[in-house]
Order: sequence, then structure tokens, then C-alpha cells
Amino acid sequence: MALLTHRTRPLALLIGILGVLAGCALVERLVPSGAPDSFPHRLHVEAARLACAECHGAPDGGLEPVLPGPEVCARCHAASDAGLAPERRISARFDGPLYRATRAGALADEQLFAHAPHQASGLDCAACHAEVARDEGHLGARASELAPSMDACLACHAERGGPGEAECAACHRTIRAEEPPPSHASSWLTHHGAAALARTGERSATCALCHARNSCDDCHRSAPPASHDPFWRRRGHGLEAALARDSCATCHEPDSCARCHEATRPRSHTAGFGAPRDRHCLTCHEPLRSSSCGVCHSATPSHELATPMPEWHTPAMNCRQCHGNGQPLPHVDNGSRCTACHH
Amino acid sequence: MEPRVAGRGRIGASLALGALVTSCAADGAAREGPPPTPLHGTLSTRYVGRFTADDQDHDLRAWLALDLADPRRSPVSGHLSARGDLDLDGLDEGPAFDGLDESYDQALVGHVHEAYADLALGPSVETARGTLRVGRQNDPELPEFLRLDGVAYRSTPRGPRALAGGVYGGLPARLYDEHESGEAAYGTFVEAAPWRGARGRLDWLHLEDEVLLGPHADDLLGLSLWQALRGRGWLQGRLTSLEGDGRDLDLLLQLAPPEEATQLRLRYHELLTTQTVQALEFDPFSEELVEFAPYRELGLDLARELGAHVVLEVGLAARELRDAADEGDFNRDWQRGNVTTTLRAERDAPLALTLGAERWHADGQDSDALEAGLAYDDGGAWRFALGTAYALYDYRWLELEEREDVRSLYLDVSRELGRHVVLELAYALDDDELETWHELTGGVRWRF
Repeated sequence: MALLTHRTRPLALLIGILGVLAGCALVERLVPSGAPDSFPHRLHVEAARLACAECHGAPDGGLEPVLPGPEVCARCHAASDAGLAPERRISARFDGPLYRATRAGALADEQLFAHAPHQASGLDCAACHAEVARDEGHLGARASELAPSMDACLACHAERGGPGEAECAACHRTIRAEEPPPSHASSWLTHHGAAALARTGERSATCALCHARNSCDDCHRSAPPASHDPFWRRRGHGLEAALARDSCATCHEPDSCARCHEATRPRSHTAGFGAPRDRHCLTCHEPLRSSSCGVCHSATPSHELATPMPEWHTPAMNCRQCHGNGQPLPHVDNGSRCTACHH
Repeated sequence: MEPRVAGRGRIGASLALGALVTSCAADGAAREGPPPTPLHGTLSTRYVGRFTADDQDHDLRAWLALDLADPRRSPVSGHLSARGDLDLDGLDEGPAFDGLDESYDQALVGHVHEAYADLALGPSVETARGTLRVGRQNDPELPEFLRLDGVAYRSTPRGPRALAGGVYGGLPARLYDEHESGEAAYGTFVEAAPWRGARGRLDWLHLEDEVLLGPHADDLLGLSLWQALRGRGWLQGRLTSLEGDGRDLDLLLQLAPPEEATQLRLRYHELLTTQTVQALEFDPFSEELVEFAPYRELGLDLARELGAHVVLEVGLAARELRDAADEGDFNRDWQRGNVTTTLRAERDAPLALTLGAERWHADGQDSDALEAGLAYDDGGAWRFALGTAYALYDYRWLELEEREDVRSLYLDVSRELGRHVVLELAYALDDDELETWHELTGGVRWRF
């Protein structure tokens, strides 16, 4: 690590971060499907020139598409399959009526969708599934990319007068402005702030979809955390600040600390802490703990006013041999460490 | 959406009454929904009475959060967030209640957190080239918190890479710092989505400030990247540089598949260089806590539903100073662990029991906390939370061994009075080595 100085290290870290994120992006694109088989749509659409409805058309001639079963594939593949071993035939890629591959348009149970009204409004399949026709067969890995996003739905709805983002019930069974989505379960409270700032997703991930701006203030500005009880105010906050001051910065700027500390004396500063008993000398100087006193007393002038030693005194001299004749002196330390103040 | 319910004692808001509170919080906010009226918001008023054996204090507090119009639909919108505290019984209530509010020599203290107007620049909101924001504002995406009295422009994301940028400038607005000479703040940013699921942002922020030891003009550069993980979570990183030296590095992996029972967060933070007196927004509390020494911190949080009855949350974190010689009163190695369990009769049962424990271990300074709470929320008009907590602070204060234990008890009750008004009542008892405290709170929250 000697090659990394404090100036070059941030650059190395930055390169590292970029590398990790670039790796994530590649993983997003290149990792093959976890599904056991892939389906090359492009081969069927471009080479075989099949229309979507030839495989996905509803048996009753309606507008609601279906997934083709083995008998649909057999229309074209029966002849070529005849000479193949059973495990290599197209029928071997089916579990019952379902082809073994991830579905690009698979909807969550919570979502509502009907193809019929969309097709009836004049949309063809490519309006939402253009990428499917170009897919080489890694459908599973790119399923989320090939399905239309909520942003795409809303943009089209805005153009054509479909349900807007406030009409949750048009597309969702349970999600409403009044009902939190599944992501808001369990430990959402701990990471909702990071999620609000991440904004990596689409509009469905934005707080403003359901929340007004003032809702943040409802919680974040109307009351302090419950840990900020009376003990916290007097002592606890200082202890935690000593461990992790950055946690204070979540809500507080340094000006609030300064304001309070300038006007509020520490709990230890009770009667006798200052003159004439000067009890503070013991807590500050035995042993010397300048960092604690220096919090408020960064430049205490009185500490410079102790009578200096005469110039002809040397460090080797024993102060008490002449001063006090060994008797206690009127100091808080009884005069045991003269040179602490008298330089 | 009351944070008091969300944690007690030393456990912290993140643990608290677990999933029940989480759902309450989300639900409470969501109830406001997209506002039907152009002027909407929340007004909270609250009486707070504090009592010890010898002293008492009576205050009235009010918060107002106000939105004017919906920025998604109206070319002109605005937001106001303000707070006012009124001392009802005179300013000299005794040293027991000394604190931030009591540091003013006036009975009424007010703060304006935000007050700005947004203007969409363009023929319509949908086709606006950008948004101009004027007034007191703060952009949570800046690499450092900055409350600004000024002007900011943010362009609408354009093109397949969602390229956007912005500039801002004005005077830093400090709520508690009365020193205002020689101050300025301005900066710019650019952001884009370089590939699917990713967002990158580059910030430059310049601050000028007159502090105790002289003037400061500091420049902060920040590079942030986010990468979504196929709807299962995200990865994010941020590197900042202050005055040409790397300041800190943040990395976060968040896995939160919406419909799975496990959520995980792995985080790393490193302070790269020693931080000392800076312009106030960059300052690491140096006036109170002196220098902030470089360290590394690693944390892991895990939340898991164990069947329909139990939610378990576990957190582990450790901080290590890069140079052990930096160990001191305000720079420490430490390890922290916490566990919270929430128990219910069934997944959506209104009654939830939460048990929690937390431990901070550091050389010369430890603290432990235990917590138990019972909360009830059936989605109806009544809600309550009853709980107790015990905290033990075990530390050396100027080399003197000290142990302080704090016992607390709380009861929070809220009642919806109609569709828009909530009555909130709370009582808290705090008993420690120094004093026994009683705090009585009562107020009304009006959402309109």
C-alpha cells in the first residue's frame, strides 16, 4: 500500500468504485438467464417472419394473447423433430403446456393488466414489446428490461388519455396512495432516506408519487428522536458524539452545538468549580486533559497569568525546599506541581 | 408518523417498534396522498410540561409545513417549513432545563427551515426546460447539507441518458449561528444515467465563512454513483474531496426485494483525512469535539421475517481509527451491536410487542440498552404505545470511573378527531442518577 499516498488513494478508490459499478452494469447485461432454456424471438420474427399472433393469438380469436403450447410449435417443428432424439425435440422444452423460460411480460400478482383494451385502442404488440422481437434468446436475464416500465406506461397514458399516476386502482390490486407498497415493509424505516436519494429506478420509486413534500416535515422536523430524553440533553449526547459524531450530523449543524454550549455550563461546573476553591484545576490538570477543557476554553487567558519563575531559577531546583518549607500551599494540589503553572 | 413511537431510550429510531411502526409511519404519511387543494400541509401545536422535584417548565411549540400547489401540475408552487417555541412561564426556569431553546433571551423563538417558490421554466410543466427555485432551501442531494438563502436552477433531464444539471448560489442560512459576515455559498452539479439502472452525479460546492479562527473559503467536490440491482436493491458510492484532499468515501449495498422476507444493508464509510476547523457546513463539530481523525467503519444490518409472528432485526458495526495514536476523548475505535424482535399474533395483527437490546463497546466508554414496548394500531382512530427502556452508561470521565443508569417509561396515545385532525398525548418518566423527570405532552396535529 506504500504506493497509495493520501493524495493518490482517493483516485484509486474512485477507480475501484467505477470498476465495481461498471461490473454491475455488465452483470445486468451479460449474465445469462437462470432459466433452463432460452427462446430466440428474433429468429422467429426476422428469419421465419412470423407475426406475434401466429404463436400468441388467442384460441377464440380474441385479443388476449396466450403463451403457445407444444402443439403450436409443432406446426412448424414437427417435420424437423421427426428425426431427432426425444430429448432434443421441441416438446422436450415444455413442462406441460409451459415453455421452460422466463416470461418477459410476467406480471406480479399485485398488478392488473388486460391486453384487449390496449390492442383495441390501436396499439400493436411492438408498442410495448419492441425489444422482445429483437431478443436473441437471453430473455430471462433481460426480462425486466424487455417488459414495459411504469414510466413507459404513464407516458403513453398521458398521450392517449389513459389512467394517470394517481389512479393506482387501474393497474394495481392493492397499492394505493393510502396503502404502502410492499417495499415499505419490515425495515423500510431504516433505509427510506437512502432509497429516496438513490433514484435509480423509475417513477414508481419516487416518494412524490404518494407523498406530499410536507409529509417529510411531519416526522423529521416536528419532534426529536425518542433517545433525546432529559438525560440525553445533559450528558448522553456528549457520550455518543464522542463515539460517532457523524451521526449527529444527520440532523444537526455545528451551530446548534456552539449556541447551546456557549450558553449552558457543563454539569460539572457547580459551586466550587471556579474561584475561590478552583476545583476545576484538579479535573483539568491532574492529569492534564487539555482536550476536554479546550472544548470551551480554547484560549483561557487566566492560565497565562500565573506568576512566572524568576529567570535565574533552573528546572533542577526543588521549589518546595524554599517555598512553604514542605507545608501544604493554598493551591488545589497543595503545591505539589509548581511548574504546571509557573514556567 | 411520530418518531417517539419509533424508538426509545438508546435503541434509536431505526429499531424501535419494528414493522408495526414502519407500517404506521408509511401509512400515516401516505394518508395525505396527492393533495386535492392548492394549499395544503400540516400544523402541529403542542404543549410540553417538564417537571423535576424542584423545577418545572411550560412551553408551547408549533410546527407548520405548508405546500402551495403541486409542482407536478402547476408551473408555480411553493413550500414553507417553520417552527416556533413559546416559553409560557418566563425565561428563568432553572438550570435543570437549560438547553438549546433556553439559550435565547426571549420567550418566543422562531425558525424558518425552508421557504421557497418553484417556477417551471417553459410553456408547461410537462415540457419545462427546468425549474427555478427562489428562497430558503436545501437540496438533499448535495454532498453536504447546505441551507441556502438564494436561487437555484435545475434543468429537466434530457435524452436517453437523462442528462441534467444545475447551479445555485446565495447566502448560507444558519438557524443558530448569529455570525453572518463574509459568507457565501454557490455551486453546480451535473448528473446522468450512464447505463440502465444507474445514475451518476458530480458536484462542486464552494463555501465562504468567517469562523472563530479566521476566514475560510472551501471547495468540495463530490462524485456519486447509484446502481439499481434489478429491482432487488441498489449499490451506491460517493467520494468527496475537500480542498483537493480526499475527504470521505461511502459505499452501500442495499438488498430489499419488495416481496421477500429478508432485507440486508452492508455499508462502508471511511474518513480519509483529518478534519478540523472549516466553514460551518463542512466543520466536524470541531469547536466542541476538536479534530476528527481518519477511520474506517463497516456495518451490516439484517431484517428478516420469521414466519407470520416474528420480525428480527440485527445490526453489527465496527469503527477503527486508521492510526491508533489518534485515540482520544472524541476519536475512538468502537464496536456496536443491536438486536430487535417484534412479535405479533399474526402478520397484520394490530398489537405488537417489541424487545430490543443494544451495546456500544469502546475503550473507556461503553453503553448498553434494553427496551420493551407494546404498540397497538388497528388502522382505526386510536393508537397507543407503551414501553420501558433501561440504559447503562459505563465510562471514564476524566479518568474517574463512572456508571450511570437511566430508566424510562413512556405512554403515547393518539386519537383521530375526524379525517384531518389528530389529538396526541404523551407522558414520559426518566429516572437517572441525577434526577427524576416527568414530561407531559399534549397537542393537536391538523392536516389540511
